[in-house]
Amino acid sequence: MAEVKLLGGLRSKVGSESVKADAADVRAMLDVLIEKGGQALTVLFFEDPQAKPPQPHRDLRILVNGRSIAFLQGLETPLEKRDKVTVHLSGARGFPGG
Amino acid sequence: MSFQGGWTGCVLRVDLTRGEVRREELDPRHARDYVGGRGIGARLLWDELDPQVDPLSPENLLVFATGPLTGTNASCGARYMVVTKGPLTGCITTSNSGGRWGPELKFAGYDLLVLEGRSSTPVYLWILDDRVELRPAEHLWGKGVFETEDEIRRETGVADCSIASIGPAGENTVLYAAIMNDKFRAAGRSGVGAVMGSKNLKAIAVRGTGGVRVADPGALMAAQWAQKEVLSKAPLTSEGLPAYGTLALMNVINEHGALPTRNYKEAQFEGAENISGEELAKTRLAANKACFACTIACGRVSNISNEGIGRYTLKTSPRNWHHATEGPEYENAWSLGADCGVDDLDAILKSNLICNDLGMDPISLGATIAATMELYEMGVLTDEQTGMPMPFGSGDALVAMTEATGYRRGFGNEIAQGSKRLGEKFGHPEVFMGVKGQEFPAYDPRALQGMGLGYATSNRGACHLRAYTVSAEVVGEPEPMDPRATEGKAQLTVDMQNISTAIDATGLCLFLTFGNTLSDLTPLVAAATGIAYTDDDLVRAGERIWNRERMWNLRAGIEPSEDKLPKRMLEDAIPAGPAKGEVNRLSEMLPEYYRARGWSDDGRPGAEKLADLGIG
Amino acid sequence: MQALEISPEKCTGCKQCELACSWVHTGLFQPSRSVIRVHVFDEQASFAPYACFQCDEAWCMQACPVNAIDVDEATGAKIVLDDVCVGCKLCVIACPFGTIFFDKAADTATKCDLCGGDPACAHACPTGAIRVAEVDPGAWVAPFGEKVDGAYRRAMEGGEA
Repeated sequence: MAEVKLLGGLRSKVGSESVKADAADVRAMLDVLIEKGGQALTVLFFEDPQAKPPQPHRDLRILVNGRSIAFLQGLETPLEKRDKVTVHLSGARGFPGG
Repeated sequence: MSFQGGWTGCVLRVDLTRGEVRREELDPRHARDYVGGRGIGARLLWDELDPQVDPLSPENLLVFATGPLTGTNASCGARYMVVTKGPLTGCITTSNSGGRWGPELKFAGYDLLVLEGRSSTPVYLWILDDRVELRPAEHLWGKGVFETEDEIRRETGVADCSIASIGPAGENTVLYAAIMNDKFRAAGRSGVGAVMGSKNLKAIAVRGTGGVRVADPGALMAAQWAQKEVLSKAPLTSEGLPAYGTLALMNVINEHGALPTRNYKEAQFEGAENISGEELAKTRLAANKACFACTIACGRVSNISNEGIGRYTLKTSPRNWHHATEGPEYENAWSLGADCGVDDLDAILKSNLICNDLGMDPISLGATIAATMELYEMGVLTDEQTGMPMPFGSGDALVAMTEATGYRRGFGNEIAQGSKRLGEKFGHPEVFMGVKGQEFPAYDPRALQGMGLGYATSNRGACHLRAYTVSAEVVGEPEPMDPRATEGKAQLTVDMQNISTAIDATGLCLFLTFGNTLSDLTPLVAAATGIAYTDDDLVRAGERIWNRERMWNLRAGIEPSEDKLPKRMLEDAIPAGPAKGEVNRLSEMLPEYYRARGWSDDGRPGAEKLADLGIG
Repeated sequence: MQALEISPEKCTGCKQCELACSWVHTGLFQPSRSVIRVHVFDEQASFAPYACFQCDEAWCMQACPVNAIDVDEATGAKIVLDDVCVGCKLCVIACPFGTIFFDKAADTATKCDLCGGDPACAHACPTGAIRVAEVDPGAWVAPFGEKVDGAYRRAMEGGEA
């Protein structure tokens, strides 16, 4: 099972610092987190939770083995058993650092 | 052209050699073209300071410059910039601080304070509005920043004054000594505190009872409400930074495999979680604290844990300062922590506290201790030389050496010279991890390509605040860029350098760009000054200042060949972690950077570029 | 009765309230003339905004020899009548809370007037540490008021203060 490490405010929202997720891809991994932390997480994870399929929220940051899914296959990035996943919320706007 | 608002229009000059105080009018054209802070300071150094001067000689100038928004109610309008020739780098240096000191100088009626010469005996400067006097400071010499501030408050009888001072590190010209204000705020980098110490100036206490006028009150109020609304809605500036401070980055950067560890030998730290913002908030955070006019409040006030008090305050320092200190912020927790292999948050807090009290830059200090630890583990340095075991990971060595360095005691006298000189002295220049004599901050340029270009081309030596490409490469704003690619990084670096420089010139804090864009800020500058600045005008001002600084450095003998990275960054691949195998590919980016700057292939601004920017 | 409800534990010490207060009263950003002030206790990580809470006893009003302090009927705020005030500072001495000030520039006493019911400081506070609220300060001021009054009476009667 992939090991999912949560950072920052997500820890209290999910109720854990890390989660083991039996998931085939990143989207399924998010479903595991939602199952654990509750439906309130859907608005943090997805721009429009009702969309089919929902697109990742602009503040959601996910790394698979230290690599942003923005440079992999997004939510469809497949997960292997020994993958390390990091999930956190960014929330920056503007032009950070100038 | 005259001043309608924002600027006071008055420059205060103090000749420390003669003990004379003069007032001059600020040149309105300089104000318009260079905006303030970093810009007007650079312009003043260009006009008045021989770039070849010894930074620690009386001939060096020490400039404290506010911006047109310093002291207004624009969020984060608290900043002042110290501009001088830095002893660590030999470059023009621009070191920025918040707190309350800058606004007080403005309320006293001055945009800039220029210090010249050298006093024959220790003195401090007392500014109460129009009253400006040099007072004896023999009794303060040798005292830490905290005690100095308390004593000056007692002497002046004005509890509301704000004080910028140096500690023993500045007096002893530690090459990365800081100027501290409001006890915990620092104009930290490049050794501005050593310049102040070389002038025999212990402190500048200021209280202003006057007001800051703005040109267009209605427009300013509208612009600041709009600016603050953006900050209050952006999750990072309304929740993330208040909750975790910049230390939120510790785990994030580590997860990317970009957290330099043990003097940049590795790029992921097994103890990152122990020194993270999450851990600080859970176990040691007392409160968060804002600088003047800041609606974000990223400042941390932290307690050393009960166990740590026993280990690190009573044993190593008789004065334990209520066990609380401000910080650590991310860069400091990294330099004193991961870079030294130390995962003990109490040791980091204590070391950070000593840095504040003795007045030192924790980034360069931590990095130089890390270089010392590497030399120790290589067997180049022995216990006899260092006075104690100095392996990576030793919190005891970290705390002891922090104190020894501030006072230049024992081996601290070597650490006080910075890691470039340390490495050269002991025959291993390769342990210096930095650019132009200044140590790297907390992002591995092998894992984040853009940061390497930013470090190499920064006018004040390695620095993360000149072009924070982390925002695109890690944070993903304004749009995500692949940290391992070099494409587009040159233009990104140029854009960020220009915009950051412009913001530095306004008197605002760079951190507000975690919420605001430049377009949120331009109306503030325009309303305060009455000059119809556009975004493009400010970017151009940033570019003008950047080129001015570059030209000054060239005249100082800092050649473009210094736009480089240490061999370790270019040839020694990251050994493990997500960015395993990566090196920085500076040679792919630098020529493109020079082109994007409109400079010659060998990195020099040409006549055409300078004329275009109005630089004669 | 309206008053400023201040929650020091929410305060970060940014002083936006002082900027806003001086702005509406002087047209400048001039914290030295603000009538709400934030005391910063550096080492304790504690910030204490303080302003007049419009106490019923109104010692400032009682002390004024020229009746320059009046009650704003709309808000209940005690206000200084600038054109009546002669700048004698007796009110500053009389206030046990230190929340009425002497303004050198205007040569009059100055204090919080609740901005006519819409205080600028409360708007400016980014953390909600200052709110304008309908409050009854009597419950928590009264014991202190009795103590001050009692001490005053005893002193007048020649007893121990």
